[in-house]
Amino acid sequence: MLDPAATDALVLRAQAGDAEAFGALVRACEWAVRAWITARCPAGADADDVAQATFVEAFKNLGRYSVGGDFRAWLFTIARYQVMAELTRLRRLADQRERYVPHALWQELERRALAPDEHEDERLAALRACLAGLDDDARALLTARYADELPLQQIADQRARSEGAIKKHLFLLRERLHSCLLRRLARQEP
Amino acid sequence: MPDAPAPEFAALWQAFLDGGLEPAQAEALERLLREDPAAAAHAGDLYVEHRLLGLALQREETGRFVQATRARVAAEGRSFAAQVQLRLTPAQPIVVPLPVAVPARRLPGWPFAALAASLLAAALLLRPGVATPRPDATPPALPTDSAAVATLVLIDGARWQGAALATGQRLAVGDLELSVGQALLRFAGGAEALLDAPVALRLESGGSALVRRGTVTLRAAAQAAGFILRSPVAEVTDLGTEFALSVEPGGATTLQVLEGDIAWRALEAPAAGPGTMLHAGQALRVRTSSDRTGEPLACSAPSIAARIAQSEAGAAERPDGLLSYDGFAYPFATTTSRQHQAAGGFGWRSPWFRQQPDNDLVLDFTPGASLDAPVGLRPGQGGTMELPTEPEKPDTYRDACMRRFAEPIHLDGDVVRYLSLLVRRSATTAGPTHHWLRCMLISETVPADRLGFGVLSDGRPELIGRFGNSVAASPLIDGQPYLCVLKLSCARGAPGQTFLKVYGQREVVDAYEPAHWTVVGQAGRFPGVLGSLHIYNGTERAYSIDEVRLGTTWQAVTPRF
Repeated sequence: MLDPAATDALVLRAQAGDAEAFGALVRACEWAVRAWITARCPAGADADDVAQATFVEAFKNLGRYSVGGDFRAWLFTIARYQVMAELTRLRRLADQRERYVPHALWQELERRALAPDEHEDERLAALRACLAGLDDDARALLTARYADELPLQQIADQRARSEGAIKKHLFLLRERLHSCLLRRLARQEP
Repeated sequence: MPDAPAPEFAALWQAFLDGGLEPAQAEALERLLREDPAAAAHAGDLYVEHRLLGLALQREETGRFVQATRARVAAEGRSFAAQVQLRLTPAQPIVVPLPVAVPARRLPGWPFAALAASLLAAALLLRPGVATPRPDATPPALPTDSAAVATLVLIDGARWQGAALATGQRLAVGDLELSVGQALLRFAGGAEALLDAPVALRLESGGSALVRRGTVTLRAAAQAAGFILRSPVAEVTDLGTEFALSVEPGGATTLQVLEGDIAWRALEAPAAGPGTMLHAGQALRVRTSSDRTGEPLACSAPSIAARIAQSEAGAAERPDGLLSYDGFAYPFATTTSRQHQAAGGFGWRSPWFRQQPDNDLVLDFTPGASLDAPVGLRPGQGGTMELPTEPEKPDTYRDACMRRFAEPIHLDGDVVRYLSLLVRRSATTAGPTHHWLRCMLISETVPADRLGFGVLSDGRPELIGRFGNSVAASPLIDGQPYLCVLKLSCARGAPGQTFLKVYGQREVVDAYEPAHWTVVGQAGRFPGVLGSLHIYNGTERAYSIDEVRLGTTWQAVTPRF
């Protein structure tokens, strides 16, 4: 993120119609907003679409932002509304049975959407560092699962292993990443 | 960190994430998460990581998101006015996020923007069910959580016009009018403002305010520089300093710089520049909004520090907001729940007892040996309550030592409470695990609901609540006493939140609520009534507790010499 003075300068330029300045604001806040929204949207939501909608609403309301305030907090207020709207939309969708999320987890996501913590970008950075510490094969498996979104059976076929073995491997990798994250975030605590 | 989830959680969770969750398993997972808030919080953490993995592993060109967003913004810009017109139809579902509505000081420059903004305002006014203030309405600064722009950190004999505000309350954008007394506000941006009644001001954001009348002394440390304070005729930008701004009934404004520099301008003059700087010791009176030079005056305003020192001297003579207190001045080393002997202090409706009184378990004390207090805090006079080890006990939970408050904490209104106690973690242990401590406020009306703070087995302080736990970075040092101060802040119609400040023995306790907390808790709505305090420890590490205080102000629970 930019420092407050630089942010204010960009906001003033953007308020005066400078599209480049608004682009710079998006660039400065991109990962913080995307990570925060992704962390609060369940599978089935297009988190990047929600993030873009957040910036569009920020753009529309930029004239209401008072320079000297906390731009990040202002932006995250918009993000909160967008996420809550997305959660409401998803709950209403008929195909939620195919994308089952436990009710208590929905509530947890909604609580987190209203919470003031806006530092998922730090968690994302820590997660990236933890991923970098994995071997190539483990990263390839996670990429197939999470970036390429391949069905587990297809991953298992490609690797000549059972689907159960792939699930077990993924479980262990997630556990390892979770422990790594806790250690890294504990070190980052002020 | 949440407690370890039930053993079956891992299998259910894996099936949920990777597919294959049978209906019976889904039901079991639902039940587990519903019945165990800690497991739900843990699941929330794991789900966040699961979702972030997709983002972390995404292969995308640098700048793709920014380019796509800019393209969408441009497209929105072209069609925005038309879209807003469509939204004038009441049947159209509208989700228009409008964060803190701060008056725009600069209009957007796009040709469509002014039209769009007016249409949008019209749409909002026409939209059924949406409470939109009139353009000239001035909503009061209601205490709130998510939209807080300032915190009321100190009051001295304060009376407010149209509101009953207490120390610790967090304030949203809106108007404040102090009729009598003094008050110190801390803005979200870090600046502190001392209000001297009678004063009326509008909180505009975490970094700006408008003084309508009266005197405000503002202090902005380097990180809070840039705070903008306005009057009806002038605007002042703080450049890392302390200054006083006084507004007369007609709007004429006096500026007095106590430290550092400020930049000022009359409202109808161009933006502040080098020619409108004022330095330490300088003062002037700006008569009108077109007065570009001002009339030099002698600087005579007292500093915030001097005013607070006067206030504290007066406060020492007055009763404070202490509701419950126990210094453990007991003449015995042990008693039991049924003997009802541990009933000292004041502000309680029960003696101390163990959570299962039928078992008549022992309560332990050390008479005449108070824990050392941090610098500035009034030392204890009595003894300590002891939470010994119980390694022979098969389970991991010791029955809590608990006591009921005479005045329970009702969470359904605007309420701020502070709980403080001294704690010392034993340097010796009776085993390798279960070294934790918990000090919890327990609900009388919501089953299994509680909030509070504790110490993890590894020594790190934590805030505990139904919305998730938050952990400090650094552990306590074994054998050293610490002062722990918990703040609970709830506002009607807004999420509540807890905060924890921990002071070591050599640290100076803040005279009023600190700007930085050791741990900040998760926000959420806390329903019901908190009726009792439960203190308990893991079975393999002893703790000593002293000077328990519950109060309505920071000063009440951190008494000074």
